[in-house]
Amino acid sequence: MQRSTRSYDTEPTVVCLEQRPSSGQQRPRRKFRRIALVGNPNVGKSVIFGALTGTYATVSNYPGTTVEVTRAAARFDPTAEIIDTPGVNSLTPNSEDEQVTRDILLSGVDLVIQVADAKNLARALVLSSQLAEAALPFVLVLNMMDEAADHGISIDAAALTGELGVAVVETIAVRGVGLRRLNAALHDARESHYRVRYPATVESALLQIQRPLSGLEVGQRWLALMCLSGDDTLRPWLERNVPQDGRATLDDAYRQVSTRMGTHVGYEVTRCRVRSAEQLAQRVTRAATSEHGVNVGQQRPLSALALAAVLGSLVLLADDFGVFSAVASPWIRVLGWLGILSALIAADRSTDMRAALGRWAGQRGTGVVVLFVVLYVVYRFVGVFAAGTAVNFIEHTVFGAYVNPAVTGALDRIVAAAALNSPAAAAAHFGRDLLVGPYGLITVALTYAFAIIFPIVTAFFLAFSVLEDSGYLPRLALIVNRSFCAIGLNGKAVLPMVLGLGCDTMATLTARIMETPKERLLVTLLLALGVPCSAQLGVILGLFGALPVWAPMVWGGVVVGVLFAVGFLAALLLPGRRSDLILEVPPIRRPQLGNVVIKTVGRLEWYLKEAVPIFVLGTLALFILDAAGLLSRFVAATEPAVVGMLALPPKAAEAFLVGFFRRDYGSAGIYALFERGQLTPVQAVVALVTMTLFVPCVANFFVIIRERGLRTALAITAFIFPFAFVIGGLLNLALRASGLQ
Amino acid sequence: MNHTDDDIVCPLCGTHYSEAEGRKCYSGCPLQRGCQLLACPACGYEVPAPTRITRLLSRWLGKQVASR
Repeated sequence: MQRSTRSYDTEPTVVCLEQRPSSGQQRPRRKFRRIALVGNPNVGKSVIFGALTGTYATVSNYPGTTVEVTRAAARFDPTAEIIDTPGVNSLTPNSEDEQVTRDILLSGVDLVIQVADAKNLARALVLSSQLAEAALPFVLVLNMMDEAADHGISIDAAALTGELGVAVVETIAVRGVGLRRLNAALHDARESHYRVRYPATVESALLQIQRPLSGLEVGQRWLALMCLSGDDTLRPWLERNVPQDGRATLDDAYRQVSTRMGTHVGYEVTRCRVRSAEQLAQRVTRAATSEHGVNVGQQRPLSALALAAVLGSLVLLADDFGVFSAVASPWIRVLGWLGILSALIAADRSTDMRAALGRWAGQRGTGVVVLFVVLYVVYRFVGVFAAGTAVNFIEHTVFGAYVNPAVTGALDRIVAAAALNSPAAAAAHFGRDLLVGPYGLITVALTYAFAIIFPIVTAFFLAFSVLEDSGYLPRLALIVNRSFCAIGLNGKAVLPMVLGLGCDTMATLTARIMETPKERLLVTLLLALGVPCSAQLGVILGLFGALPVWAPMVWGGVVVGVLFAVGFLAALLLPGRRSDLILEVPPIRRPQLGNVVIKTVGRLEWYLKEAVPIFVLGTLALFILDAAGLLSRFVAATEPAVVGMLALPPKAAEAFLVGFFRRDYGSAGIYALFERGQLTPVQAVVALVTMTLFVPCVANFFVIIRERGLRTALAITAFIFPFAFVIGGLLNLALRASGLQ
Repeated sequence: MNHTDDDIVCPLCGTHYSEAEGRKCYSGCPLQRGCQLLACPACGYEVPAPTRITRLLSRWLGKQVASR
C-alpha cells in the first residue's frame, strides 16, 4: 500500500462553508462572550489555548470538584473569555472531568472550538456528534497534522466539512501552523447538521421526551439522549431547569426504553455514535494501512498464517498432554513451533498481517483464540524455558555449588576459630544461623529472590514488555470487558482488573474511578481476592513449567471461576449503573528491542528495590519465630487447615506465613517445596490456588485501609483468608476424587 | 500537545505524559515514599519511573540505533 507523501511544512488549509469575503466585502465580525475549548485528552488543547489567549490565565477548581479549569481573555477580543475544559471522550459523563466539561457547555457558551488529534479522527467525531446534538456552534480543529502525515494518514477536510456542516481547520499547533486561519474560521462557526441514527425505540422516545425539554436553550436531542442513557449526574440541572411533570415524563421514557431494549440504553447510544464516527472517519480518511483496511485478496494468506499459529499451539498443547508417541513428538513439536513462528515472522514483516492481528485480537471470538495463543507462548517462554533452564542453573550451580557453600564455609571457619562458650562464639553461631541457617537471609531470602524469582520475573517482564509495546494490552482490556459485562459488572471495573495484573496495590488506588462506594468496594475485593500481580504470575508460570499440563488449566479455571462467581454474586447484591469503557486502541506495532529492554530493566530494578527488602523482612520474621520457639507452635496451630483441609505437609504452613507478606514470596516457597519433592502435583496446585486467593501483600493491605478504612480492610481480610482455605480444600477433594496425584 | 522524547507513552491507553504528571497519583497514595512507579493520568496504568540505569541504557540504545 502506498504511503501518503503529503507534507505539512507549509501552511495547511482551512475549509469553511462559505467563500471568505474579499477585502471589499468586509463581513461584520461576530461577538463572543464565552468560548469553550473541547477535545479528547492529549490532543493539544492547551497549546491552542495558549496561542489564542496569551499569558494571563486563571487556573481554578471547578466549583464542587477537584478538576482544574483554565480561563483567560481572548487575544482577538479581550472581552471574550476562553475556557480550556478537561479532556473528555464523551459528553455523557463517565468521570468527574467529563462532568465538568459537560456542565460548562450546559451553563451556556457562544462557541465551541473542538480540538481533534488528526491521527485518531474517529475518536474525535464521537465528540463532534454530541456537539451537533447539543446544537452548539463549533469549529473542528484537526491538530497534529504532521504526525498524521507521518502515519500515512490523509484527511479530506473539504469532504469532512461537507459531512459535518462546520468549518474544519488543519493545524500543527506546536509550530503555530494554521492558527491564523483558526482565528479567521471562528467567525464561520455554526451548528452542525451531522446526526447519528439510533435504534427505532430510541428515536421514537427522543421525539416523545424532547417536548418537556422544549424552550430550553441547550440542544434538546443531546439532553434527551443523556436522560435516556440514565445519566444521574444531570439530575440537579434538570431539577433547576425542567418542571416536575416534565421530569416525570423523562423518567417514564427512560424506564420504557430500558425495558423495551432489554439492555443498557447508554451503551447502545455510545455504540451507535462510535459506529457512525468510524464510518464517517473512513469516508474522509485515506490511510496507508488501517485495521479495517486489509485488501480482500490478502485475507486468505493472512487467515492461513493465523490458522497455522492456532494449530501450532494446539499441537504443542496436545503433545504436552502426551497425545503423540515418543518417536513422533519431536517432529510434532518442530511443526507446532513452525506454525507459531511463521505467523510471528509474517506479523514482523507485513503491516497487513499486523493490522489483521490487531483486528482479530480485539474481536469477540477470535480475541479469545489470540489470547489462548499468547498465553501459551508466554507459558512456554516463562514456565518451561526460564524456570526450567535459568532457575536450574542459578539455583543449583551458582547458589547451590558456589555462593551458599562459600558463605557457609567462611562462617563455619569463623565459628570454629571462636573460643568455645565465649560471647564471640555465641555471636558467630547467631550470625551463621541468621545468614545461612534453615531460615537464613542468604540461604532463603536471597536464594529465593535471586535464584528462583529473579530469572522467572526477568523472562515474564520481557514477555510483558513485548505485549505492552505491541499494543496488545488495550485489546486484552476489550476482551475482559466483554466477559465482565456478561456477568453484569460495570465496564469501568475492567481497568483496575487489568492494572492488577501489573501491581494490585496501584490498581486498588484506581478503583476510585468507580462511581459508587459499593462498586469501589467490589473492585477492591476482587483485586485482593484473585488477580495475581505480575511477580506472582511469573513465579506461578515458572512452577507450571515443572507441573503436568493439566495444572495451569485447573489453576486458571478455579481462579477465574472464583472471580466470576464472586463478581456475579456481588453484582446481584450491589446493583450499579453500568458505564462504558472507552479506550483508544492503537494499531498493533512491531515491538522495538530498545523499548523492550529498557522497560524490562526498569521493572527489574523496581522489583528488586521493592520486593527484596520484604523477602528479607519475611525471612527475618521466620528466623525470629523459630528462635523464640513460636514457629513450631504456628505450624501446629495451622495444621487443621494446612494438613487437614488442604492435605499439604506441615512445612507448607511456612510458605503461607510468608505469603502474608507477599504472595510471590509464598509462591516461591511452594516452588522450593515442590522442587525438593515435598509436594505432589495435586498438592502444589492446591497450595498455589489457595495462595493466589490471599491478599496480595502488606502494601496492598495498607492501601485498602487508606482507601476503604480499617474496618473494611479487616472485613475483606477476614473474608479472604478463610475463603481461600475453603476453596483450596474443595479443590483438593475434587482433584483427589478425579484420581489425579 | 507538545510531545518530547522524555514523554512516557501509556502502553494501555496511549496517553503521552511527563514524569511529573505520572507522579500526581502520589498525592493520594500512602505508599508514595520511595515508590518507583508512575501512573498514567488518564487510565492509571503504572510503569516504572525512569532511573539512572534506564536513562543510561536508553541513551546508549539511542546511539546504537542512530549509528546504524
